[in-house]
Amino acid sequence: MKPGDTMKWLGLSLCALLPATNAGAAEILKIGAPESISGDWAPYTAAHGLRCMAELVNEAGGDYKIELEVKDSKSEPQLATALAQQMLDDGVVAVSGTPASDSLIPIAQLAAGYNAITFSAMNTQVEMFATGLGNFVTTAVPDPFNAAATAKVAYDHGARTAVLFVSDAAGTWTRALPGWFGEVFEKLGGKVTGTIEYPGFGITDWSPFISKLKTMNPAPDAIHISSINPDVGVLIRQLRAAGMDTMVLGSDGFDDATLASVAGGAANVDGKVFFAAHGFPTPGGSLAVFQAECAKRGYEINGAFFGLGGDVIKLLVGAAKAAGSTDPKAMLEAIYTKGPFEIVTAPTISFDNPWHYPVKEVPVMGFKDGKPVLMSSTVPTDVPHFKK
Amino acid sequence: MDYLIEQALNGFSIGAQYSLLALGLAIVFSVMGLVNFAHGEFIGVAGYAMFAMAAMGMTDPWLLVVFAMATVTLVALVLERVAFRPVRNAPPTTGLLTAFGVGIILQNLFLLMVSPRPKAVPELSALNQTVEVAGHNFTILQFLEVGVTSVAIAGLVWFLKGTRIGLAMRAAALDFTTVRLMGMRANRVIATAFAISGLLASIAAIFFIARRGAIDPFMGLLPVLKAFVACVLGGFGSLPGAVVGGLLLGLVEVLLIVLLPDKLAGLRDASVFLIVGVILVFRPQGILGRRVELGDKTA
Repeated sequence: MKPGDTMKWLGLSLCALLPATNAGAAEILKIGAPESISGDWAPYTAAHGLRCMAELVNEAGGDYKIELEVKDSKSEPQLATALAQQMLDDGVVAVSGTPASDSLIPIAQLAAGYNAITFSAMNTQVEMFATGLGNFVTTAVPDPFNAAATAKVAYDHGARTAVLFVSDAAGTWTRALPGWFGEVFEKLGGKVTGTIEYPGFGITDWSPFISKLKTMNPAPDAIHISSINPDVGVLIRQLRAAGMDTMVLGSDGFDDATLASVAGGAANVDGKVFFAAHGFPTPGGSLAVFQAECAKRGYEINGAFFGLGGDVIKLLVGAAKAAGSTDPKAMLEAIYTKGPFEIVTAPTISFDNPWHYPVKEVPVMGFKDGKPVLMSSTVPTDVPHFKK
Repeated sequence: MDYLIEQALNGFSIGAQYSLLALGLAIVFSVMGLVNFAHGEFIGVAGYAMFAMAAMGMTDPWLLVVFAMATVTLVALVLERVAFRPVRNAPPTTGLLTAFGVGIILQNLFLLMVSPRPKAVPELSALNQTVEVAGHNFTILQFLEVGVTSVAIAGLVWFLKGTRIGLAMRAAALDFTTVRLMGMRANRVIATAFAISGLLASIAAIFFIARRGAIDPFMGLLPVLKAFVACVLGGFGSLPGAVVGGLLLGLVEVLLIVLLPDKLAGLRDASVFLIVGVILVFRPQGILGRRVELGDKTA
């Protein structure tokens, strides 16, 4: 694709957001984002994607002008909640938090009093759909989808036995997700041969856990862990240093540009590390175009999470357009019932199901020459948890 | 049996890192009564110094190690002069808050000047190569951790017992006023304590970075908390206590990984602190801490 085509595509995609008539002043869509610009969740922040898409929408003109306020929550739930409260007092129609339920549930409860939407670009936890919140929207697919897609790729790549690394560090994301992976993996014909508990984030030395893994008989073909980088990168590096060639499977926490280098380079990850992500920048695709345009504007691109930020802005503008109003209640109703909506990390997203979780394609990535490559991109059909 | 030997060495190598950091905390505490919670950020200083030099083309791991150690020692001296000397005669809480403030400033400097995201520092990864000894596989790093820590402790003992400034530091731990009356300059004694604490932290940092292969702005937070626990366990202000506390903490952590069934693994951290608590019930002054005697410093 030539650079001219890229701009044309971007222009057309933004024009799609515009209403048929463009008379009168643009309506303000005020959005608050206490995002994790620093702290544990910083590698996965959607803040820059939110900013860039807001900039693009505003430059394109149209019926809606985005007023985006981004503040650093330092990945601390309490600080995120305090910042969200300030933003709600300032009259935002939608507000986010740190990407885990420990901040999003209280923020959603706060926002309910203001009739505002609570959004997260990348929360994937099922508890967000089980707690009866009526005002929550995320653009990242829930963990059971992530687990199901990874299990299929692992099985297709020859894994028949797996050990699950679990922890209570981030609720269901670190504990239940590996279990859902195991559930689908066993349904496909594989076997989960054990679990290993690890204490949480910030582990520098995995040696005691690796020694434990080495004693397992038979040695597993694969391990599955849902955790953050650099922890998972360090785990891969130390596994290889200990002479273990085990396949390492993971979740969206693996989707960090520095993973391969932290893990010790191409030899340690190529063909042996797979993880489900939230988007893959296929050349010429909407995510690649969005990332390229934002990179030109000086934004640092942090994998698909950057695109998820763009998704949120596109979704909110699309919802306002579908609802014909910037009233948060009407927008939320439109999100839940009037999809699918166009986004950047996948062709479309829809929420028309009893739990209102997002449904879109789940890409599973591997590595070649130390660079992420797309292994599959599907909407998993046999998904655990939600069937119950 | 192989498994137990491997885990024992894991425990010793983790404990050795805690000991090095705990020694640094203890040496400053014993001389000036300051719990320097910014001590963990020395790991970050070493990491970012190596990252910067590697980015500028210095790829020789030995040069990077020497540069990191020199940088951390220098930063420790600068912090003593700029941040801690002005509050030396203030109440202990002021020193404690200053230490937290210095730590936060350093973390934010890493964050703003480099990135909030982890950065790879793979230059020391060769230390993770495995070697076979008597049929068991160990990494070079594990031997270095135990060996270098032992040498560093021996060197510190020699320094404290065999040099005039070392003698002054030991005396200052008991009664600083008398040390000054003997003609020793307080600034020199305290600056030396900071330099040694920086040097010990830089050695621990080299091991952390070699094992982890990555740096991030908050990487020093957890290790300094572990070092603090090690100091309390061993007896705050006692240098042998810091070493024993660090080793014991590392061994207990690994022992619980080995012994606790996975179903009870959630109780691992609680169990570590339960054990520490039980020890402190019977030895409130820590394992090698001594009771304060008349005329001794109490803080």
